Amino acid sequence: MLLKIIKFLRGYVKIRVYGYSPERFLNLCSNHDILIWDLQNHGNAYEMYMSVKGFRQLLPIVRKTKTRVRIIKRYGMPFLLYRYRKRKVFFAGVIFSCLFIYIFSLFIWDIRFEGNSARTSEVLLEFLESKNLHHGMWKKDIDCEKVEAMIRNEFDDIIWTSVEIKGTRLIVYVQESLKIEKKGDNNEGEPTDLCAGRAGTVEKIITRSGTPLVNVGSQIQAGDILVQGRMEIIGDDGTVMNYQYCHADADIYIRTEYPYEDTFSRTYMDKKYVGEPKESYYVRTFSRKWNLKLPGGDKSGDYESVVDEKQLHLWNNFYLPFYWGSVTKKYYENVEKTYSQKEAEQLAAQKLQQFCEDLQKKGVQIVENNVTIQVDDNTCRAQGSIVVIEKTGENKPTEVLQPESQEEQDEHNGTGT
Amino acid sequence: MRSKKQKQPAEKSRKEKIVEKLMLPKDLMLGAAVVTVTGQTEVYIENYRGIIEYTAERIRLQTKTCSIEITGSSLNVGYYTNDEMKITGRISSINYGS
Repeated sequence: MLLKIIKFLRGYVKIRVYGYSPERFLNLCSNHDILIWDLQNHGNAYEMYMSVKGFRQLLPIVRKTKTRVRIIKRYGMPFLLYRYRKRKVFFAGVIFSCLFIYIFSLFIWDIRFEGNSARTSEVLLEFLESKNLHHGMWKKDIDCEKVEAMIRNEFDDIIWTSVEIKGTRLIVYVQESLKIEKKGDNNEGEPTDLCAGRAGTVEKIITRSGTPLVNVGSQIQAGDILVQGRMEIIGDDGTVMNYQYCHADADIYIRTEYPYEDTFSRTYMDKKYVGEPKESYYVRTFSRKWNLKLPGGDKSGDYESVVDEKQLHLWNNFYLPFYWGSVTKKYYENVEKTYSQKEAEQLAAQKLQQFCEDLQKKGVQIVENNVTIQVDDNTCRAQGSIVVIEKTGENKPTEVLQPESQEEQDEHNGTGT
Repeated sequence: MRSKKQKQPAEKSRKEKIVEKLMLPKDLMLGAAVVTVTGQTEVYIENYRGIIEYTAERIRLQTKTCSIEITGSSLNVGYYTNDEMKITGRISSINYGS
């Protein structure tokens, strides 16, 4: 196949050789390294194919062997070009399309993210745009490693990124971590206290380091210190000799209440779709957009529109800034509806269920559910509280105190001099 | 007399003997033709000097040591270069001449 293409590009001819000794002609050709293929015998004459380059070297051989050579047919690019030399617009078109493809290949026309789930592609794209990385930028201006570092620095939950340019696409692979490590937690050297995040009753406490200030059953308020990072060193006389500081660490589970209230009206607006959805098409490039209007596509009234856009691409990775798509408009009218007693209760229960699930996702254990649902003529109201057992503890810096005895000594020294 | 007669068909030149003993490739050392026949329709020939005769029924080639005659019908030369040629067509015999 490749050989055929090369032959075509260089051009070749079919020739007929006849005369005194065609065999000698063939032998001389092979001695001069002139390639001959598809040699055929037609009585006294031979027909064969030969490259244009070979044909140009034939003259001395023809003279020597006293044969005659005639071109029967010409094949290949050089002859085509010659034959169509007057078709200037055609050549201009060929050159233009080559230029077009080359110029468009210098830019990024598609940015794609892979592996992200918590961070949506829109968020990542917005971030890249804020850093001046956008569709239609020069490919050579992109420093993949820099982009990787930028993404990792901006988003704590993205632990690995790889940015690659393929064709005219910028593909960003990310790996998100499930556990978010707060940066503040890492500086273990600083003395910290564990404080309560919510008010409640302590259910269980396991202290690993620090002085616990609460017991099982103690009532705590939000912000109370639960485990202190300061430990007292008490001397023989019962006074505090010195303080030792540490990074307080404990598992503290508290029983706490989450208030829940949700009120909604029993009447609501619902969409009633009218007629068939209307579809229209458009073509877009850069900021220009051409709509292809279909007869009867326009109608007054409220509608939902669904846009399905596709991007033109040659092969898999050569994306171009041309888009086409369809807009489907679904017309609707607003209709006032009322939830029935049962429907309202179901909806309220559903919302409550959702709230509980969100809580459970945070890792709390639901112990009691004291929410009551009341439905009256106009509204539905769910009210009450949910009792949960959750882990608490926020690190806050410990107040550093000077040991009293030392202060006294300092004072004595101060007066002595 | 008898011994001479018996010896003649197996007689080899000194060069041939050396090449055989050293197990060197004969096509390179002696310029022997390599004829590869695929089925009844294709013949590849390497190491030849030139074409003596070519018609659709008969192709005669000269090699360094002997001539090769290929007969058949509708014989064509697929390609023809300085060191290899391909013959296609219906081949009926391959003969070696002196």
